[in-house]
Amino acid sequence: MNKHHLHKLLTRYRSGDCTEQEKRLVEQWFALIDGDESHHAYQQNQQTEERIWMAIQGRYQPASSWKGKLLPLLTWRWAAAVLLLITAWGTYQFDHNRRAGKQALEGNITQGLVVKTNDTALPLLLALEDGTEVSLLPNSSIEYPAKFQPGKREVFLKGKAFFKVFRDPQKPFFVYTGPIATQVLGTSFWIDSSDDSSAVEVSVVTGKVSVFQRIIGKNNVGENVGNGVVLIPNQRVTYSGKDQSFVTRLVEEPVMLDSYSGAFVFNDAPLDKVVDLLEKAYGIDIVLENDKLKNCLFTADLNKQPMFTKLDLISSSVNARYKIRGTKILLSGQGCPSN
Amino acid sequence: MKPLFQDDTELLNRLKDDDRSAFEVMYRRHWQQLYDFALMKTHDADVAEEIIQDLFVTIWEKRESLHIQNLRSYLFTAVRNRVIDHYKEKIFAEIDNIEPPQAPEYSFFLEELEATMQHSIAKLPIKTQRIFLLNRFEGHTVRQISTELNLPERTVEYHITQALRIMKTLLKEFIAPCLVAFVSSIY
Repeated sequence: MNKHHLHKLLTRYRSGDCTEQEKRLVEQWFALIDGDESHHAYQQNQQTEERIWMAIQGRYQPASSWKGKLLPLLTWRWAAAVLLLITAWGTYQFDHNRRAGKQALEGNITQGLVVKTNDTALPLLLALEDGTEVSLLPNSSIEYPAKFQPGKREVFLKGKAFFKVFRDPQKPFFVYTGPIATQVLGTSFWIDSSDDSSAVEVSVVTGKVSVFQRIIGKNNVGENVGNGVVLIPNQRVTYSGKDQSFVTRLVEEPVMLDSYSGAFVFNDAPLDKVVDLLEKAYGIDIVLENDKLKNCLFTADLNKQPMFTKLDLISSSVNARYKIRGTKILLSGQGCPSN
Repeated sequence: MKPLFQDDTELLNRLKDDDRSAFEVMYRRHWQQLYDFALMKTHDADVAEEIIQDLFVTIWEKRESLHIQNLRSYLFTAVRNRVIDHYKEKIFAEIDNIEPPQAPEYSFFLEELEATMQHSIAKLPIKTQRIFLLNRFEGHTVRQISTELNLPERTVEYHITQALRIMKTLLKEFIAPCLVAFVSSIY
């Protein structure tokens, strides 16, 4: 009897032909059908993501909407998403870029450089020959060859731009910004700058990026490498033009690595386990200053908090403090007696 | 800093231009939360997967005619409707008595459901009741309630869990037909 009625109620609700009372009742009913064991049991992984995605595309195979481009889509991935931001670099530096750029490309390029300047108030979308996409922000310019030379891809930027670099391991992708070159090694990262007129900042979300000083004036820009660093996820480097130094730190808001899909729900978990999980999820080293900290037990659901909030909660619950030391986090406190 | 390409509004515009990469970004950005939501409501991973799959296939099919203001709320509403459809079908399949209910009986059922709902809510401890109503029927998030009532989020979550437990027991008769396996696994 109830089933009949419930079915009728839901049917009427979905047909849109129902009274306010029916609408309210369905909404209340819907609010009550959750599992009340926490949702974290439902942790998902990449396989599920891929399985659903394949299924979505599979449903499309016969349709003409993919226009035969289905196959590339399956394997197609952006190698990198890059935000380049060197607004502070003036005309001089850009001219420098241009000279260096033309030098570098000399002899290899038959079709010459394309120069695009965005004078509008909106981002300008550009597609490079290799499939890389660039969103050039207002008041920014970019130079790139109409056809990349064999062996490497090089672009020169003044201002801000967002890059989605098409993966091609045979042809590394370089972005030159003032005195700094950024090479795409892995999957995705950001480049940023401070307002300081001689600083450039690069930060990595996923994958690996190499950032180094260029030695300008020689024949080949890409291979004349000065000082440099390799960044891994959640690290950033600031280059200061004044003393030509690189300082590596953590990004302001670390994000979880794509490969991590575990939960952050702890029930009387020893602190070293908790810390271990955090290290894995964010790829960041966390150092316990005092071994006794490992004995502390921690209970909480930290699934939704940003990393530093997680650390705040953990620290306060075990009466510890954390400090950021370069690219590591140092957790200090009295610790707990062993059980 | 947000990736400029991945703003939802821009994704929607690019989707209209048949941009498959925008479609993929949209899927990859939202699938997990939608899937978790579907799973939480259906308690069935296969059903949840199917719902997400159907939803995105439909979006691609209808990309030219879609007018979406807020992608996130569109997606969640779509999942909710699909979850309701799922129960509709499930309940229908379980109906053994083919005789359709009479109209007076149906309105009696509505009254009874309404009364039981109100009665159950009234039975909740006053604080639990307030938190539950805010969260479940007025859509406030745990964080919002925590700020509004000046309570730790964990306390708010506790009250919600308690309320759901009590409500489900009291409303078993109405919720159970479609959730037999699920309800019995809890109690």
